[in-house]
Amino acid sequence: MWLQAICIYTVFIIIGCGIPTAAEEHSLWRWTCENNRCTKIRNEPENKEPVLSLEACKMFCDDYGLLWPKPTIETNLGNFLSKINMNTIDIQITKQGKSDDLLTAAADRFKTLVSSSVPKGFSAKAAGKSVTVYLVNENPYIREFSLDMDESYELYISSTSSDKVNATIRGNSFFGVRNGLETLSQLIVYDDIRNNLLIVRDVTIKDRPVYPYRGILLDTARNFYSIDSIKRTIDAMAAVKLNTFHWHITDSQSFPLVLQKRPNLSKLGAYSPTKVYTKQDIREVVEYGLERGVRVLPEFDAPAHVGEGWQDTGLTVCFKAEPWTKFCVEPPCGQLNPTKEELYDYLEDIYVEMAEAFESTDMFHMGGDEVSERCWNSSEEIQNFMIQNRWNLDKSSFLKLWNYFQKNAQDRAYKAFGKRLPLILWTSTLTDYTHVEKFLDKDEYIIQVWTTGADPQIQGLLQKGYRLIMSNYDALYFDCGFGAWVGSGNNWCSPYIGGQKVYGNSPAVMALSYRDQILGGEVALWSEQSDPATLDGRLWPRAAAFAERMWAEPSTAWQDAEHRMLHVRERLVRMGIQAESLEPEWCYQNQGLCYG
Amino acid sequence: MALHGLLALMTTMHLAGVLCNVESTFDEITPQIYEPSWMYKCVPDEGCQRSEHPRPTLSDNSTSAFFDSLDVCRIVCGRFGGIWPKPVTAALSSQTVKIHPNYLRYDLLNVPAETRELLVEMTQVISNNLLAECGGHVTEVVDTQVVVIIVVKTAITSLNWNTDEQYMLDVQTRGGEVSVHIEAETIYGARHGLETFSQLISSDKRDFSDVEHCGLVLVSGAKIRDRPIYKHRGLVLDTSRHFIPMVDIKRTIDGMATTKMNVFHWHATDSHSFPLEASRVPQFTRYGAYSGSEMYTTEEIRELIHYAKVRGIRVVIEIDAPAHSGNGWQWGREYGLGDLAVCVNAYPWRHLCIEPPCGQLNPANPNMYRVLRNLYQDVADLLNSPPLLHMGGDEVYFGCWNSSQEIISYMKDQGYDTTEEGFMKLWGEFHNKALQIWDEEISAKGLDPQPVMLWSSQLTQAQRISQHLDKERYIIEVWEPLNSPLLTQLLRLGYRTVSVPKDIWYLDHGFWGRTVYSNWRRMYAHTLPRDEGVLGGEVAMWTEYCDAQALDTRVWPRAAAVAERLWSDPTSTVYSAEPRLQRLRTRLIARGLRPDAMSPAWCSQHDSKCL
Repeated sequence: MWLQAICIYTVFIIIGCGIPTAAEEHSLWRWTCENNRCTKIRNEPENKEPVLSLEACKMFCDDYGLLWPKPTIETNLGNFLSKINMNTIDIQITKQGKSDDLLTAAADRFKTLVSSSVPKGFSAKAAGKSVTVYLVNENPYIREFSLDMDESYELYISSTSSDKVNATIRGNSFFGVRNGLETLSQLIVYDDIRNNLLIVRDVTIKDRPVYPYRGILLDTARNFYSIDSIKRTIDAMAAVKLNTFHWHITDSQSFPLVLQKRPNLSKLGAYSPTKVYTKQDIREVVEYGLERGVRVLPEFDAPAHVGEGWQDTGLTVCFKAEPWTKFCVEPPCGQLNPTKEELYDYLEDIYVEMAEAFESTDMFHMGGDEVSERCWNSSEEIQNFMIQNRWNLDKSSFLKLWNYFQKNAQDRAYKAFGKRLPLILWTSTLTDYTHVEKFLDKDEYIIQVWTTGADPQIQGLLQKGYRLIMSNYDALYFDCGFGAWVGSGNNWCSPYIGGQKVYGNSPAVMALSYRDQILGGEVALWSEQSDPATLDGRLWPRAAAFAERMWAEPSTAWQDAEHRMLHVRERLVRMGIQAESLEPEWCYQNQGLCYG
Repeated sequence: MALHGLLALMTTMHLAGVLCNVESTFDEITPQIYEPSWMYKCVPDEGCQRSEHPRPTLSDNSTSAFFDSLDVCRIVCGRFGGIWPKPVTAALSSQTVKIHPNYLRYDLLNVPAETRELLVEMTQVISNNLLAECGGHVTEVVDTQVVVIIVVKTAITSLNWNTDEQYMLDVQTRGGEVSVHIEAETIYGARHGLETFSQLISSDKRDFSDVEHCGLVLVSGAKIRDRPIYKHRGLVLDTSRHFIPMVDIKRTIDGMATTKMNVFHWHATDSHSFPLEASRVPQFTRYGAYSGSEMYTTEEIRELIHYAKVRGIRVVIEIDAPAHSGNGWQWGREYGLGDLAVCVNAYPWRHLCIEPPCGQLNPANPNMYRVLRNLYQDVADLLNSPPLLHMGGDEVYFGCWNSSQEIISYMKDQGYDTTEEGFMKLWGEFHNKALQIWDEEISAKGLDPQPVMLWSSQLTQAQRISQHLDKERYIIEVWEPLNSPLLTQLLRLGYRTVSVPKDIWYLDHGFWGRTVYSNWRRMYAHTLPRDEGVLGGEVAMWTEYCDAQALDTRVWPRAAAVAERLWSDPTSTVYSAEPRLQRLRTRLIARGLRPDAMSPAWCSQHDSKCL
């Protein structure tokens, strides 16, 4: 009842300042907040109540309005909506420092977001209050990503006079202030009955993320993605406050990364010479990410998952071996030959150029998944090397060989990046918690978990002190659920994972008492069966569901978030993201009536 | 050549620029030229294989076993080249000839005058598709004359199940001239011939980044005899659960035309929304559309029907009734007509309908039939002759009707018990009254009674159907799962059917509940009974979980698998179809669609290596 009263009062204000238009008179429907949900009702001619658009109604019909992800410390959305003029938004940066260019870019993005909140086919009236946004960055010299960067912010909105609204965003770094701008953009809604933009006023929001690492992995080796489609993904990530774009840039199928020192890798390895990423391309993405608070994290997957590109080097074994089922998990096979000294010079060159291209990264992903003993064992040279080292040809000896590779690669990585930056590896037989500490130091390596959320490895690794990033495939592999591209039936991790399951996938529940060792999580889009045409639909809006889990780790389930989720999907579409639909539009217009 | 010259000049200027320290001006406009590039070889039984190493490109495609474009390799490799769906017989040359659309001429002298206008439109579609292979601009100009002589024997322009769709296509290259002969009984057969002709053509765009260059090559010789196995090859699109903009529907029609599908089954309305404008009853969209911008105007509908016709596709409009009707019908009382529908948007919904929002037409209210008659009149005005109406008829919930006192009294008056069979009588009565109205309305236009379509339901069960539905009048669209005996039972009873097994040919499965995603191989492998009573099949796109954003990737390339099943009903394996489907996929992309990816690009560059 309290909420209902607010709604009526609120809209009374809007109507008070606006002259009803023809469109409004003819509006057949209006929405009203009853029992915490917006109900679509007939706008009877004799109706004396204010006529609310769906978005305006939703803004006050829930404690978190239309915000996504929901703020974690304090959310007070006031009682009023004010009509604003999109053309008179002024953004003031109050403290000067070396991150000013980033704040300016974030301010530009904010304006773009405001204009994209107008749905297609509508145009907002250029009338209403002017808006001044003050950006207060307490540490304007910080522009580096790190696992302990401060992403928190505070946001205040108030109306200072009859024709002016002020918003202030305070943060301890560019990253925090930028997050505040995203939230601010979500407090602006469109009234499609009167064609006005409205902003919530009398707002106080205090917010910070629960997990520091909130990522999306994109595999650009199985199928190639244009730079534009990658940027589009980063745009959407920024809108839901995800902060890491993990770029799985190479694999056995293709090597699209252009390296000046080793040009043959992409020359022989790219699908076509146009399907490549030059250093300039990558820097463009890195800069684009930085402006949006998204680190672009490079992965160089090794020693398995290599093949195309390495043809002429003599540094791989079992490349394109047949039948592939004997030597690798999917065609074409290929693995680096760790016994070759020259290999490590190659790796160093690759790492050096990656460090140059991915200049803002504070971490490096070294892959390390799905190494096949049988592949290595098929090489006489490797067998001889192992015999010389007085190793057997059994499982544990191949782990030693793998470790030999990893140690050498690690040294080269440190050398290339010029610092002992945190390294990330996928879970594998090497990272098995029963022996992992023999090979990998917990202070040097972060483990990315891709087994199921119920895997005892998770507790095992946590108990041994390892820090984890959760990408458990049963909830976070977004390639699942389609036809198998090798063999028959549907793909290995079918069925399709719905947004509800993604939302419910809680690292805190898996970690129990070791929650502090969870850095966060990551959605993975392996691209055997997707390319730029399908990218948006595979990722969105499911990655948004994930984003709220990562940002807020809510104790509630998806049902409580559903109506906000439907709205964030509409926002993404308006931004130009081809997000999947979650429910018939009728359910969007009739909140709460499409339950189980 | 002129273009290459220009590039060379720009490169030279670039170097000069470096010397003068102004290189940045040219940095962006000078394309990076990669040579050599991948080449593709057609290997017997293995398909197109990428070369081990990039090789220097060849100046002349026609004499080498290697191709510098995968698409070109595909159109000559294998018995059926890059043609989808597979024709009955095809003999294709392994040579190609360069052509240019400017020197392509259609000879329509042997075409009945009354069909010529439509055929001209058809040829324009084909010409545009050829340009699309090169992204709209064929830069490599050759003056090889290509004459397409079309012979059409009858003046028929109507589309129905008797339309003869067979065609013959011959391509001959002699002395720098290409002659193409297409012969068909009807223009629709000729259109299919033209479509196949366009699939003998590829861009020769090379993999290196000289993006400006694009030429077209045509298979230099071909002899194709082709006709469909099934008469009804359809796609259902639901535009009620989500509104699908016209532009997206047209793009879907483009994909259907590419794969020789011939029925666009438009599930235009449902209980969720009523986007179809009816000029006699404006209340339908006013009360039923999601918003003023989410509706189809009469003019748009008419344009769409013509758009489809030019692409050999008949539009079937479905007005689903008596269930699946709600929003759009809820204004009766306000206009003094009583309840036109009952339990509209009722909740809890569980016992009143299959999914929210509920709604069922009110068969006790004669005004409902008057409004329905107006709607049918509008639909009859829109559809091409002979009009085909789909009356829906699925998922009637007796609980809904039983919740209305008005309906219960009506049943009593009619002498129907309020038992299952009583409600069945009411339901059957609705369909027969609706059919009578439809008959009267089309007879007013001077047309004979036409069969109508109806979904399978409780009413169409084998032991019951004959009491309610005349087998001469109703074509039953069977959507029961594969293990249901209904299809065979109905065939035995003499009904004509269209088959859409939901567990195989529903495109929305795999994203909700316990449904399983049906991949293209599964869709392809499913066969229909070869029976006079099986008119064909449809692939269905229900849109609870899909709107224009995901439409293309949900539908394509999977719908193409069904299209080939219905056109060719092949006995060959799905694996042998895959390279052709990969080619179809790139063709759809060229024509502006966004089909889902089937496999890593590596697999499409190495046919048969990912089995």
